[in-house]
Amino acid sequence: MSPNAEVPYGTLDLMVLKTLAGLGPLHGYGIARRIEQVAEGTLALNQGTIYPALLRLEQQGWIKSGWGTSENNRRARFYSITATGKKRLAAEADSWARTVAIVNRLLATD
Amino acid sequence: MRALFSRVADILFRRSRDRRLDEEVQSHLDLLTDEFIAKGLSEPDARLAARRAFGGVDQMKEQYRDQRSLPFFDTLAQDVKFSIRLMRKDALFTITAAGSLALSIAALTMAFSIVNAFVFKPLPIADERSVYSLNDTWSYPDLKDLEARLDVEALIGYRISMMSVGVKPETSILWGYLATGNYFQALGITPAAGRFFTPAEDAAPGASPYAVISYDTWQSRFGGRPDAIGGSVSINGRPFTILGVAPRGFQGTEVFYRPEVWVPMTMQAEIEVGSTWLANRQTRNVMVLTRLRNDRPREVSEAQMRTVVTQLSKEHPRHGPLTLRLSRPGMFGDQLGAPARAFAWGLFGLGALLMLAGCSNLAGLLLARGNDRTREIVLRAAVGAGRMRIARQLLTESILLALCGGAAGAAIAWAGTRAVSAWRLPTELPAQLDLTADSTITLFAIAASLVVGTIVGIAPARFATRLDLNQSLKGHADSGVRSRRFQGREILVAVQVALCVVLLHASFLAVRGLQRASTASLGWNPSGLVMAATELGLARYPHEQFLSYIDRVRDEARQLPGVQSVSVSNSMPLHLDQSNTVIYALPATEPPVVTGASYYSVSPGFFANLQIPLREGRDFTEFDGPDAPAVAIVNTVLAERLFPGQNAIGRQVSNGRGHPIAIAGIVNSGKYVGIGETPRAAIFFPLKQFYSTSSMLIVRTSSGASLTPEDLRAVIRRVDPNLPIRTAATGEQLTAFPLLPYRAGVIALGLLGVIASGLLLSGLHAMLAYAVIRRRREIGIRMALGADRATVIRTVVSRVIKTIAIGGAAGAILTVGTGPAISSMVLGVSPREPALLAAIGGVVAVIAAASCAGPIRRSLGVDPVIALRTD
Repeated sequence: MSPNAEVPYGTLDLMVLKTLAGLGPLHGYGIARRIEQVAEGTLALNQGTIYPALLRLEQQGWIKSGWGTSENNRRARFYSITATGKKRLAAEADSWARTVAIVNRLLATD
Repeated sequence: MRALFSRVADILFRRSRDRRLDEEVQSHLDLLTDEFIAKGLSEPDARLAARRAFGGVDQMKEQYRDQRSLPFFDTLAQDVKFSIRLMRKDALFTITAAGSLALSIAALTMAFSIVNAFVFKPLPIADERSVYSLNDTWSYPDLKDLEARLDVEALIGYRISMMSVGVKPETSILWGYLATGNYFQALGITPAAGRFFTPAEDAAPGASPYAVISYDTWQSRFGGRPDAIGGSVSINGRPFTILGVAPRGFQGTEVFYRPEVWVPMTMQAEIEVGSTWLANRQTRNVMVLTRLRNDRPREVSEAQMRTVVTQLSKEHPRHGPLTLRLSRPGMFGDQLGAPARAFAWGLFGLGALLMLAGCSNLAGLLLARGNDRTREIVLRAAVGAGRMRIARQLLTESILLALCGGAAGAAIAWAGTRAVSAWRLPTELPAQLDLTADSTITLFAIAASLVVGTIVGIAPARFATRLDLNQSLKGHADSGVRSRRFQGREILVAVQVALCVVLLHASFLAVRGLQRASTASLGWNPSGLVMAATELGLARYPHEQFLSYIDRVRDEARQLPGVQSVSVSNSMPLHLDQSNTVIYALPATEPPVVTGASYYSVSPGFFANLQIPLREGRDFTEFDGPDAPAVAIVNTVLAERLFPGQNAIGRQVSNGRGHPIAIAGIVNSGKYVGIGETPRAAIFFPLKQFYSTSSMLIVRTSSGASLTPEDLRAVIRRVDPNLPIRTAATGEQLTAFPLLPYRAGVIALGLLGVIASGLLLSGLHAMLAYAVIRRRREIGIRMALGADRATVIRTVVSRVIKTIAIGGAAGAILTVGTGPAISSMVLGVSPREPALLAAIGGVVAVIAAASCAGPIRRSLGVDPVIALRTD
């Protein structure tokens, strides 16, 4: 994997959900930061792209949002995962794991 | 679903959501900047770095917006906005187009509301679908026999009756129903107040002085007072108890008649004082409804009923055959059903044709405008608008235009139906036609306009997708689309011409029908007659008083100045009150029976007074009194039917009761019930032998004298101030009522014809005006090359004439098909009259000339130099 891979299509939603499930309410910046941290510099994330993802998730009712104050006293919109969001995350994580396993196995048989 | 909902919400709250995103992005950027400052960058550098880390703000926003809303609605909003701007810019076009559409939609919607009233709108009763009307009218004994033998849920009888009701301070004539005791119960309606009478309260003759009043009567005559219920009211001088009030909006069981009061049928002798028919099998004057059993198909019930009716008919052969037919209730035992339905559907069909003309008109206008807009459209296409996108824009415009027209049309139709519904027919009984309807009518108008908008919009939209960009951009306004021999616009105009011819034909037919009817020979002369009718029964005149009244009122009337002749009778031809009877020749062994013969009780001098020629025999005299032998005068139709080819004078006939009646005279036949009727049998009895409680004083004034109906009222009042006067009218007023259906036809069809002509005028004008503009260059070149003006005119006009000729021919062919349909809805016209086609041709020619004048003048004014320079 090249050091600055694009975010694979469809995985950003999963990453955002997982982040919110793990860390509790976060603003967009915090979520982007967290994903970058975990990726340890291997992911070229335009931080702005998480906003359409956040909107998508909110429209599905998997996350909700509200205004709050950030740690350094800036007004920011905080996102948190909903109950249906958690269920969705479990399902998505499961299917992701299966997909990865399949791809891995395919790649191994050579 | 949830996402869709939130997307819709996003469209509605777009502004605030945009702001929210801006704020969010800003706060994100600020946090990022903070981070970079913490890492040791200077503030400007940190801002730059933050931007870089965030990525393209605008791309993200665009993506966000797409994600957020429904792009379909976004573009729709854009299209609508643009369309409205265009419509306002070209207000004249908008008003013309939407206006013509509004008129045709209004006409179609009105026609639909008439269809709705006649065919679809259910009576406000429970489970209306299982209630049917029996054909024509039945006698009360037959009704009772049927009720005992038929296997149906209920058999309901009712009869329109007039009564004088004393609501202080005055006595007024109310119109109501004599109804069988199960009337309300079987219809399944609930009273607005109080209760209804029951079968037990309609059991014995004269034993149930009860009344139910309509909601409107309760409000208007009793002020809606609750204590009116249970109270007593004087009907024909006897006290009746008001049991209850019918529900609001319940107008009885006829479409055209609104009863004000219901009385049990067994009270007949008290209501129609002086006549009793409850026991007479030959008096068929009860309308009958039935509620069929729900557990079997209608056909089964109907077959069973038919068997019973046939059996009943066999048991009483003297009273003429009985037949059974079930129909939708509300049309006077379906006697009005066929003509009413024919009229309604015919009108609807013509309305649909008008609508088609309106569509062609609008399509033509839009197409012409689409051509004018070639440049704009081409430019949009050139800068990258997809053809579908442009087509959609054009479609949006036409649908929007159609919706405006539809809304205006619905408003016009709404006002129109209100006006018709509020109009009480010019006759003494409460006849009104309720056209107002629920939202179905409005929905119909909107649906119609949507359909129109789509159909009409397809042509310009297709035009846009066929454009040849290259040619159009170069400025050849008319070379964008390959020119064909006969263009779409011309086809549309030809269609309008054809439809206009059809609709004009319909309106001319209606006018001819009215003309025929008003000049038809009635067999008697209404002009110079004045009449006033009273109801002696309502004043409870005993027999002797009745006889003396006839003489007194005649003598009194003779005293009036300018009186030529006077007669008294129970009724007169073409008056509302018409009675039928069965007449058969004696000896009764071999019956020619005539059913449905009109009968009248008349005083001596009646025929001379009405100017009905006596063919044979003698008129009645003062000696044809109660004690003299019974005599009658028959019309030629009855004489011929009873005694074909024989001399009828002196022969004996019977009406099924009492003594044999000798025929004393024969008079010419005339029109008795309606102007369009086929020759009817009629029989006249001496008034003093066949007295009737209805008494009509008829006076013929000598020429030059002026007697008014008021003078006759005064005469009757002088004889007895307590007599209620039903009507007073001149002969012309009397014969105006039977002309009403003809007038209605002229108004309805004439309106369609006028609108169609207007559409054609605007359609032709638009086509020509456009053709002139489009061919300006060509005209300019021709003139520059030396063509004279006449040649130029010919080039412009020849195509128009060809178009009109083709359309006119098509229309003329169409009338061959529509003519018979129209003559079935408009009384008394024959569809093929050569004079009509000539008249239509004349009207179309005038329309064409009027619409051509302006554009032709303009084409003559073309200056070759200027024309060649433009484009």
